[in-house]
Amino acid sequence: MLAQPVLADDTYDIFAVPDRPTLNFYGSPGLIDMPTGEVLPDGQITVGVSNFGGITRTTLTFQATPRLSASFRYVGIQDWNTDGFETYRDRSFDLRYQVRKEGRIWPAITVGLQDFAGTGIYAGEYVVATKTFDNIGSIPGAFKVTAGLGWGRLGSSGAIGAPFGGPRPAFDAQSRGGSPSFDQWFRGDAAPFAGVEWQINDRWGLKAEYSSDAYEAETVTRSVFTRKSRFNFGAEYQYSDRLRFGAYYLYGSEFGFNAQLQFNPKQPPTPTRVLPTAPIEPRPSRAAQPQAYDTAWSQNQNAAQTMRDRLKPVLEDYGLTLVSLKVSASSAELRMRNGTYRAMSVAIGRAARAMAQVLPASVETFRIVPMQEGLAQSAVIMRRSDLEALEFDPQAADALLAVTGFGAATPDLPGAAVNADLYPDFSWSFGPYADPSYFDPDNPVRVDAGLRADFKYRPAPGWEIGGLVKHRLFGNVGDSARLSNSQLARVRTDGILYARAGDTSLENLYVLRQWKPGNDVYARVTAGYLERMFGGISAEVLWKPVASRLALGVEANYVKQRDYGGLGFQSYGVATGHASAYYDFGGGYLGQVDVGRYLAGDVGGTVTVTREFSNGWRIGGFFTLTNVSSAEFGEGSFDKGINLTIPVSWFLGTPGTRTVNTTIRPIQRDGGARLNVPGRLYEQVRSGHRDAIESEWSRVWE
Amino acid sequence: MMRAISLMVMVSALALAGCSSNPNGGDPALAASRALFDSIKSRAAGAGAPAGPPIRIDVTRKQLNQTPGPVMQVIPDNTQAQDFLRLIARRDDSNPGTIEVWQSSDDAQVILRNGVLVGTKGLGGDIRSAEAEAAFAGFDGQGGGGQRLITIDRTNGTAQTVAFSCDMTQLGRETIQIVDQRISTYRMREDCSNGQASFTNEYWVETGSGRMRKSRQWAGPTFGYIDFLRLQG
Repeated sequence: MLAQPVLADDTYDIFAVPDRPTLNFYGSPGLIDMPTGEVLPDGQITVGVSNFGGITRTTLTFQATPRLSASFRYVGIQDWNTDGFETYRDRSFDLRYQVRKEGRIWPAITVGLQDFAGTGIYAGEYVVATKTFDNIGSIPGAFKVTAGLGWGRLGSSGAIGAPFGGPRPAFDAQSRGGSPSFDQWFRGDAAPFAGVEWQINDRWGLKAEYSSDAYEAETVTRSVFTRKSRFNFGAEYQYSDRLRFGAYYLYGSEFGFNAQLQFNPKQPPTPTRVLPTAPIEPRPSRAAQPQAYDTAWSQNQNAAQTMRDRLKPVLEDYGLTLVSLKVSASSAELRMRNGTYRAMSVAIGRAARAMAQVLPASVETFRIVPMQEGLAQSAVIMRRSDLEALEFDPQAADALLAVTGFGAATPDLPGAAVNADLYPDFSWSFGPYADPSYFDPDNPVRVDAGLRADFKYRPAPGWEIGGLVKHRLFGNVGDSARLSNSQLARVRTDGILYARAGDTSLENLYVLRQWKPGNDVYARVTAGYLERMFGGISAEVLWKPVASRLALGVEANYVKQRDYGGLGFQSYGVATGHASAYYDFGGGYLGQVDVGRYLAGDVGGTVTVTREFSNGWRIGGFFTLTNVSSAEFGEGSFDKGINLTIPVSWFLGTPGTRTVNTTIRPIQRDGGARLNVPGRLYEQVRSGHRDAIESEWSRVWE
Repeated sequence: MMRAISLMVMVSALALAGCSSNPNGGDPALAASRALFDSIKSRAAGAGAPAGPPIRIDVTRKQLNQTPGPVMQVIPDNTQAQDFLRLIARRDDSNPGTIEVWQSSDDAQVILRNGVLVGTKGLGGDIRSAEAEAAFAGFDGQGGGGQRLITIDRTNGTAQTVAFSCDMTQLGRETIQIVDQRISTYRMREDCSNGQASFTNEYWVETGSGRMRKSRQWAGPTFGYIDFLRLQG
């Protein structure tokens, strides 16, 4: 199990100003072309764009844990003129782990694997140490002195021998790449590198380094640029809190620049503001006014309807929707829909205050059940007297959590007064869209843009009929000349043919039904045009107790490949499905394993690890291994990628539940491809379960 | 070419006008990027011309007499904009001191216990809850100080409870002017710290009644300090 103190989000101190290292040309904490031993603040996301000698590197780095960071890089090298490329473009992944934090005597020490799974043009490993010296004599600012030892690319100039033996296989531009190259790491010649950074003040910094990179592939075998020196120099300027620019003179011949963007999901541009509710009006004491606690009202046949009609407008004021309400003399169960607040704890707290405002004094126990499209997620149980006593407690949120219960919600609530306005419900939206397509060797970013329209019709709880149509106005995704060369069924690589088939496309059109067969069991069936490339039927069952970290699910689908254009189907059909296990490690770390049969008929498993921040940011990585060999799979060897979810409320500073989701794959092939089905259950269910509610519990009184 | 331009115009018009039956519908990426552009625009606009000092009203006795109920004047450091708060609730709970909930003109709330700030709502980066007893124990003009737990919104969805140790310095009697009244107060300064984090509050408490009439208090690292002046009630 992962150790809690190392991972917990709670270690973040709002008063601490974490040291923010500057980045090198590889987008890692570093000098100019060489890395340093420093680490980014936990959760930091950086984007670095650097250019020199016709080499452009764009790197996305994520500090996944306080010590471990991962980078994804896209590089373009002009004047390559071999291997069939004029400009060579490649993707690469790095991992860095800080072995030791900087102490009074010890420097910070980091071990890095650069381009550890690509075709290997940047393959190199290093161990590097950095020590900070403040206030040396009367010189202003701080000096950061770095020394390290590099292998592979970083051991190619000024080598001192091969401490861990050799030889090291050479870089091969024609290889498929993609697999971790264990056999190369720390093998072959090693060379020292060093440098110093002088941070003169908050704005300006100077850097100088001795590079151990010979740039053999660029300057010896090819003539991308001319390397005349091992020394690099540069000056950097912090333009704003998040943006830094640098100008450099490299390898005795080239000028270069570097733009560094750094931000942290934990620090929104605008803090979210929620309009407060009125404070709770405490009930009179039972001893002083026993008549206030009379229960005769509950004998009335229409008690639930009366209370529903009083509660509904108050909930609406608070940004919530009443689904149903059941009352007795001493307790009430409210089922509500939260379409406003990303943090479910805010919705729960506001629902509780609305109930305290409206319901007769004799109602002491509140059961609040958040609903997600017909699924009752959980029951949060609070005592009204606790709400009254703790609203202004010095530790109001923690004290309330200690006396709040979480339980399973029954699938249905017989005897409740239902909000009849909710069904049938028709909603739609219309607007522009842009679909980017990345990493075409001829044109790294292609995009289609146009108009989209979607609708959802919900005739009854748990039923949904939905559809999405796009009309392309312009774009160049279909212009790509790189047609599929796949040896597998072309379940994903025919994307260009779909793009060429026509400007108007039906992205999906489906009927969905989801329900709860039991208190902890959720089920879904979806049928129709499920996604752009496949249509058919999909069924899923998920087991997820409210307080459990573990969830288990099974999904079975039978789908046929759709025609490139129009509504017909091609001959290819496949039964695909997975058994899935989901685990919440705590501290915002989520794991998922799926085992089953993929779209091309290959059999294998997918591992996904995700870091989720309390405010809804999610960054995850995944890889899929199946019985398709890397030769059959083609470039990249196996399927892998990065998932990114960004809550819109983070930008807006106003509450909201919308998110921007994107998946970046270095390359999309046909092996290990999963069907995209509207309405998968796990995320729908989890948002209203105990761990998700507790993670932002401090907002319960908002 | 003309066709391409007119399409561009059409799409950018729609980008601004993308519509939906539900305010939470539509393309979320678009909403996020629009917010970014707005913030950049407002920053660019603000950077050029420094705004003059915000308009201040000197409240008169006549104005106060026409205003029903208690009135608190506040001036936050960050905006320097004057506002007048209404008292919307007063509560006694099991903790010492009386809670007052004050509401601003834009419906944010400030929560005071015996005049000491113990919470804010709707400001962003709010103080979620706080202990106040160590502060108002010194309101008799003697003593005070001790530990105060303060829970602060980290703005990332979580909160941090910080145990501040606070020293109360009695600065002696001071007479302050509120509108047309001269009020005799004890003036005191509270210095609170926890590691690198620290803040300093100042209180002017009416002698006799022990009621706080004027103060300068810290509302967390995001919002900063607020000057309070209890004009009436």
